[in-house]
Amino acid sequence: MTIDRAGIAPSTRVRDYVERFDRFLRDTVAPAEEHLADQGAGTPWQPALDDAGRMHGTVWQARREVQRRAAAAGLYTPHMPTELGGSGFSRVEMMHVEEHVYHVGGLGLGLAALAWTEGPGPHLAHVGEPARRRLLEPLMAAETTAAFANTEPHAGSDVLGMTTRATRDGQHWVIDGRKAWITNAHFCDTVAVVAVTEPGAGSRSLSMFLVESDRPGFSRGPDYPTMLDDGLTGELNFDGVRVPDENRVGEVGQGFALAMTYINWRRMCRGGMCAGWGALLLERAVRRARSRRSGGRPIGELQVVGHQLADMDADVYSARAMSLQAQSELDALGPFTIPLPPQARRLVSLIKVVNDEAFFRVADRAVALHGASGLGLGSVEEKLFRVARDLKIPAGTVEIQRNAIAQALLAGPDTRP
Amino acid sequence: MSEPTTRDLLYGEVEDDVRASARKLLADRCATDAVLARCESDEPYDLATWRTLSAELGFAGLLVPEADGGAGASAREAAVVAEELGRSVAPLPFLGSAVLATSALLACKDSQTCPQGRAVVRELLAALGDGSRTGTLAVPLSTAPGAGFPDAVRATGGCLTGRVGSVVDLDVADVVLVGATDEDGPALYAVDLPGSGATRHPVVSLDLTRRVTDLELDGAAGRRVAGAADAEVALHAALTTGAGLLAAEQLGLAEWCLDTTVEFAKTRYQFGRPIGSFQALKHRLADVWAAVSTARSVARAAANALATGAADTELVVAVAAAYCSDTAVLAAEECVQLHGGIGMTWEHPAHLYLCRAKTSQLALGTPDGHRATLAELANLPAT
Ligand SMILES: Cc1cc2nc3c(=O)[nH]c(=O)nc-3n(C[C@H](O)[C@H](O)[C@H](O)COP(=O)(O)OP(=O)(O)OC[C@H]3O[C@@H](n4cnc5c(N)ncnc54)[C@H](O)[C@@H]3O)c2cc1C
Repeated sequence: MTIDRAGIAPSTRVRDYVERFDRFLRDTVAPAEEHLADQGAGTPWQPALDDAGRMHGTVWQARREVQRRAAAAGLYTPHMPTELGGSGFSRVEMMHVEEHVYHVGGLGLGLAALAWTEGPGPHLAHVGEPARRRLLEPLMAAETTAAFANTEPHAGSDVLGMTTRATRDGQHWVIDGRKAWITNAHFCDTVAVVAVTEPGAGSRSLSMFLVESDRPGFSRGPDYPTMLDDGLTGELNFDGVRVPDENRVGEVGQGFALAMTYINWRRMCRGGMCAGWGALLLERAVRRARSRRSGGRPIGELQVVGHQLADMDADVYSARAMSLQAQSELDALGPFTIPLPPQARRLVSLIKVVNDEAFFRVADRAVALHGASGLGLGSVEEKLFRVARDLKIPAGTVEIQRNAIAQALLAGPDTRP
Repeated sequence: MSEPTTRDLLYGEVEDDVRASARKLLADRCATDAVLARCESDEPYDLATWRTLSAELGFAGLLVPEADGGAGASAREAAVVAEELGRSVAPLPFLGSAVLATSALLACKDSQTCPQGRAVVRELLAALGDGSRTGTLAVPLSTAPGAGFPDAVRATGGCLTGRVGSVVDLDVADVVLVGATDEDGPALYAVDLPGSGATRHPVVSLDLTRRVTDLELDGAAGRRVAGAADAEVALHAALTTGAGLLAAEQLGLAEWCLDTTVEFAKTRYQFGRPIGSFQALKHRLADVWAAVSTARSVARAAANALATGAADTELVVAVAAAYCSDTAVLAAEECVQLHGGIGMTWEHPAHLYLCRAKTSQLALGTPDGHRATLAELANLPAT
C-alpha cells in the first residue's frame, strides 16, 4: 500500500510561527536569560540543584515564566487540536517548528516556549468536558504543568507488567502504586497516571487518569539524579488517591493505547529535535574546524576531521529527510488514531530509532572535534552528548523500537514498506 | 561459565617451521594467478599439490597420532597451516579431509558402540593422514557445532538412503562420513566414492576456491564406524574442531588482505602522492590492523583449547568463530574498496578473498549463531 503524502515544505503558518518565535526569543527570552545568568542558580541546561536534588527554584521559575508568556503569545501549543485551543498543526508542520525551536533555542530558556512533557499532549484530547475545563485549559495556558506517569520500578519496557491499581468505588477511582523515572515529578500539578483496571486483560488491562497534586494520598518521592543532571526526574507515590470518574482519560481499558498516544508523540518529536540540535552541532563543529589550528593549519584541513564533518552532515541530513517523509506519511495515516495501524507504529518507531542513533553519532563526533573543550562541563557539546545518550532510553528504548518495527513488518501485507 | 585462564599463545619454533614450509610450498604451487586460472578450469581442486603437502610435509595428517600413521601434531600446528591456506585461498581439501573427516574419525577411534568399526577407522585415518585418499563429512557447510544429529539419512542393513546438501570438498572425496539413523539410532557410516547408489550434484557456490556439492544416497553401501552416543560425540567434535580451525583460516585470509592493501597503499599514487598518505585511509587500515590483531588472539586461543582439550573449548571456539568470521569479511571488503577500480576486476585476486570470506562467515555456524551459543554458555539463553 502506498500512502498519499502531503507536501513536506514549511506551510505559511509554520513560517509565521517561526517569525513570531524569533521575535519572542529576542524580546522575551534573551532578557530573561540575561537576568537568570546573574542569579547564581546555574543555566537552563546546567541548573544548580536544591538540597533535595531538584532543579533550582529560580531556574524552574524562569522556565515557567517563559512558558506562560509563550502560551499568551500563541507559541506554546501549536501541536494541540484547534478545538482545544491549540493551532492544530500537522506532524510535518510540527517537525519544522520543533527543528527551528531546537536549532535557534539551543539549550536556552527558549526551549520552554514549546510544550513538551510538562505541557499538554495529544492523549489529553480524550478528556471529558469537565476535566477539559478544569485541568486541560490551565495546562494549555501554561498556568499549570503536567507529568506522564507510566514507568514503575519493576516495569519499564514491559508496560503491561505495571502493578499500580485503580479500583472503582462508585463515582470515584482509588489509585495505589508507585511510579518511577517520572519527568517533572517534583513540580507537576497534574499527572496522567496509567494504572491497571482489569488485571489479565492484556492491552485492555490499563486505564489513564488525571491526578491533581493536591489530592490526599499523592506524594512526591526522591529525585533520581541522572546523567542529564537537570533535577527533573523522580518518583511519585499514590497511596489510596481518590479521583472522580470525570478525571478518567478516554475509556476504561484504553490506558495502554492512550499511553502509546503520548509516547508516540514524544517519539515523533525526535525528528525535529535531532534535526535542530544536529544542525546546531554541525555549525559549531564547522566553525571549530575552521578556527582551531594544529601543526600550523586549521584542523579542518586534516582529512579525518573533514570526514567527521561529512559524516555528521550525512547523519543530520538523512535523519531529517527520513523524518519529514515519515511525518508526512503519518499525517496521512492519522498519527494519533486509536487503534493505531501497524504501519503507523512502524513509522513512529523508525523516526525514533533513526534519530536517536544518528544524533548520538553526531553528538559523539561533535565532542571529538572540540577536543578537551568539548568535554568541559556546561559546554553545548558535552551537554548534548549526555542528552543524546539519554534519548536512546526513554519513550521506548531503541531495542523496543526495533521490536515494534519487526512486529509491524511481520503483521501483514498492509505494512509493506 | 569457567574462568578464562592465561595461556601461552605465542607461536613456537615448530609452528614457525610449519608456517615457513607451508608458505614456501604454497607460494610455489598456489600463487594467486595460478589459483585464479584454476577456478576457470575443469579441475578446480589442486590435488597434485595436496598430495605433495601430505606426502612431503605431512599436512594432511597433522591431527592424526603417529601410532596411526599421522604426524602426531596438534590443533595448534594445524591452525598455522590453516592460516597459510587462508592466506593463499588455496583450492585444497584441507577443511573437509584433514579437519572435519579426520576429527570425526579420531573421535570414533575407541568407539565402544561399534567395535567392528575400529579397524575401518584406523584404515581411514592412515589413508586420509598420508593423503593417499581424501575424505569429508556429510553435513551442510553451514552446520554449527551445536546442531542436533542430522536426520536426513536412514541406514538399513548397512545401506544408506537420503540427501545432504552443500557438503564441503565432497567433489574430490574418496570417502564420505555420513551421520545416519539406523536400527539402533544415530550412527556414523563411511561411504566410499565413487560407489553405486551415491551421486554427487555440484552446487554453484560464491566461493570459487572451495566447492560444495550435494550428496544423494540411494541404497549406497556404508561401513559403520560408530553408533549412538559415539556418533553424536564424533559429529560434535568434528564441527567444533572445524569451527576453531576455520577461524585460523579466516585470520590468515584477513592478514593477506591487510598486507596486500598496505602494500598497494604505499605504491598507488593519486593527487601526486601515495594513497596511503591520506589520513582517512591510514585510519581505516589501522582499524583493520586492530581487528586482525584481535582475531589472532582469539583464533590462537581456540587452537590452543582444541590442542589441550581445555574445559572451555566450546566457549573459546565460539568467540573465535564469531569474531574471525566478521574480521575476514571486513578485511576483504576494505581490500576491495581501497584498491579502487583494480579491486573490482577479475584479474585481481581480491574477489577470491572476499568470496571466501563471505562464504566462510556462514560456514560451521554464523557469527550470530556463535554469539547465541556464547549467550547460552553465559547462562543468558536467547529467546
Ligand atoms: C531521563 C528519563 C526520563 C524519563 N521520563 C519518564 C516519564 O516522564 N514517564 C515515564 O513513565 N517514564 C519515564 N522514563 C522511563 C523510561 O520510559 C524507561 O526508562 C524506559 O521505558 C526503559 O525502561 P527501563 O529503564 O525499566 O529499562 P528495562 O525495561 O529494564 O530495559 C533494560 C534493557 O533491556 C532491553 N529490553 C527490555 N525488554 C526488551 C525486549 N522485549 N526486547 C529487547 N530488549 C529489551 C531494553 O531495551 C534495555 O536495553 C524516563 C527515563 C529517563 C531515563
